[in-house]
Amino acid sequence: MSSNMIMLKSSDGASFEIEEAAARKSKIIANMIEVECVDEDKAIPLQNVTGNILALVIEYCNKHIVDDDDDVATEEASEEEEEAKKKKVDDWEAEFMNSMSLETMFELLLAANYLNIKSLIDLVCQTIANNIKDKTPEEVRKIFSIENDFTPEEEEEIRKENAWAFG
Amino acid sequence: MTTQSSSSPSEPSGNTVQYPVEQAAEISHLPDHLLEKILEELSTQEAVKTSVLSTRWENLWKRRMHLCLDMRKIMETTPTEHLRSASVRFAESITKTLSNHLGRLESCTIRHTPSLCRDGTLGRWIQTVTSEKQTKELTLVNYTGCLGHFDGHNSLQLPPSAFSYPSLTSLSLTRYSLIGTHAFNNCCNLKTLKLLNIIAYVSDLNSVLAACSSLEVLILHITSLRTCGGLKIENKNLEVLQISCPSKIHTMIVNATHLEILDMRYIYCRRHSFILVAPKVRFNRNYWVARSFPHLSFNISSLAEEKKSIWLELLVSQFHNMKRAGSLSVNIDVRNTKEVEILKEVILLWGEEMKELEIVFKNDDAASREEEGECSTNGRAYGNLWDDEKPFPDAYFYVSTVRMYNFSGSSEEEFAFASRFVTQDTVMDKLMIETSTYPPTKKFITEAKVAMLMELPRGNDDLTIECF
Repeated sequence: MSSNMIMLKSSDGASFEIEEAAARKSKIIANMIEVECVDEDKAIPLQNVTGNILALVIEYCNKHIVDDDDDVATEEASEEEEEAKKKKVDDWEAEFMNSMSLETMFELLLAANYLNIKSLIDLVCQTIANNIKDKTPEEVRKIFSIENDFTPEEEEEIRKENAWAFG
Repeated sequence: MTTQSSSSPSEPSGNTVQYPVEQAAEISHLPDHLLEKILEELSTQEAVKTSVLSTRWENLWKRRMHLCLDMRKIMETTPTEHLRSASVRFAESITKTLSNHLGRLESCTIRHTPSLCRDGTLGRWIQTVTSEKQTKELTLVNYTGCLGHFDGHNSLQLPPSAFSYPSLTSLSLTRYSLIGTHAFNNCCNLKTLKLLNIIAYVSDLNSVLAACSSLEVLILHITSLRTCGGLKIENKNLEVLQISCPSKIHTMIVNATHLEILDMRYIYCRRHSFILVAPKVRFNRNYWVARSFPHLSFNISSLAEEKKSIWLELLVSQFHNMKRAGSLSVNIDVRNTKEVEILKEVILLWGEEMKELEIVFKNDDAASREEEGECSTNGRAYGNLWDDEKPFPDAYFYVSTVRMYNFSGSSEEEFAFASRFVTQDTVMDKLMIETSTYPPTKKFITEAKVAMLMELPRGNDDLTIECF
């Protein structure tokens, strides 16, 4: 095993091997590595993340660590190359998010939040927001199974107060 | 920090959020700060609409740091006969929304109907977002689209010192008629002022600019001046000035010793009536010599490092998707990669053939000593900038005439830079290099270099190269 691989263990006991550089995308794990509380032979237990979600997190980190490396290596890459590269990442992210259900997104967001991976938090928030955009409140409630606990009068009052937004 | 709602109590791991595999995650499992983050990705309007989803969502939008309250969409969908009453009703609801918002604001944009200029509503909103919410950036847009023409009914009537709050540093006003200036009293807090599509008296404008004594950026797009007089811009901290004014100006004085960027879009003022006291943008070419084409003077090399990208962004954003026309004068050290990158981006703002490009090389020894460290660290990047075969700035840029001043025959970098304009099909007419003011030895060396430039294969057969 090369020295820059580390082990992560999910809440349901699944173990994953990941490059240290990829794992450092997580501020929490990066901190653990800094203060040397990572024992090379032992897996880092992640009690809040299940195996299937951790697999997605690792897929994301692996993808992005490669991109970051590229950035450093070709500082003077031409604009077109950079645009092409950015488009490639964007396409990958769109495909990545497309492949999962809303439920998975919520779990992934919680995991990204727990592991403190800012770019992944942003990506998931953006994708969830896209499901709210251009929808009526009724449609949003349905998509996200949100139970309306307002009385009709209360709801009417909020709509009236913010009439400019509801139109 | 946040509430973690609906975490499954059956889990053994105490305070952590976990669900059994069989229980699917729901949006209600997300803590408030994540829901707020999701709402940040939405427009203010979309976010406010979520307050009606459920009691959990009612207050989630209220801590966002950026508000954009836009009556435009609503006015466009309201039948004309109901516009007046709708305008009042929606204005009341915006007042309510503002008072519902919690905490501070970073920025606030309000697009409103003209009737609110006069009835005190706008003044109350400004008061709320500045004194209560301590916003840093305020953008007000008078939306005249649905209620007739841009006329006297758009005069901005505000209480004295309406914009005088320590936290307010940036103000943008669009489509107003300025009458009286007391709203700008004690406005030394403003660093950026944008007056766009403004109708005003010259004397009022002068008073406003004098009152805003700390301005660094002034964007002045005047629709018309009510009187023809003398415009005075004497802000000693001003670094960026952009002006367009189709009304006649008798005299114009710009006295700004720190000015780095002077962008003359259009002015109706005679050359000898324009007095510029701005040593950093002293160029050989200007708005008038290039036959009243828009002229941008940009002292790239003297900009403070952190300002370079900020001002460039400002120039880009000022045009939205519109491309520039006219001429450009720049002062640049071509040994500095960052400066060359900025030059490239500025040049690419031109959408049509640039009339004239004036390049004043900065190459004095004092400067090179001072920046030695930087130059050597940039060495590798620099090499790539000129070694590759790609056209500079790109294959689509055309300029009629390029004038180079202070071109040094002994600088390899400047020669490499000038060569690009010869070998690629970029310069349509002339490449001119000033040597007439040089002492004999320097002139001899430089003209020898120019002769070498002339020997290079030319990208454009019609290109002439000369010293002047």
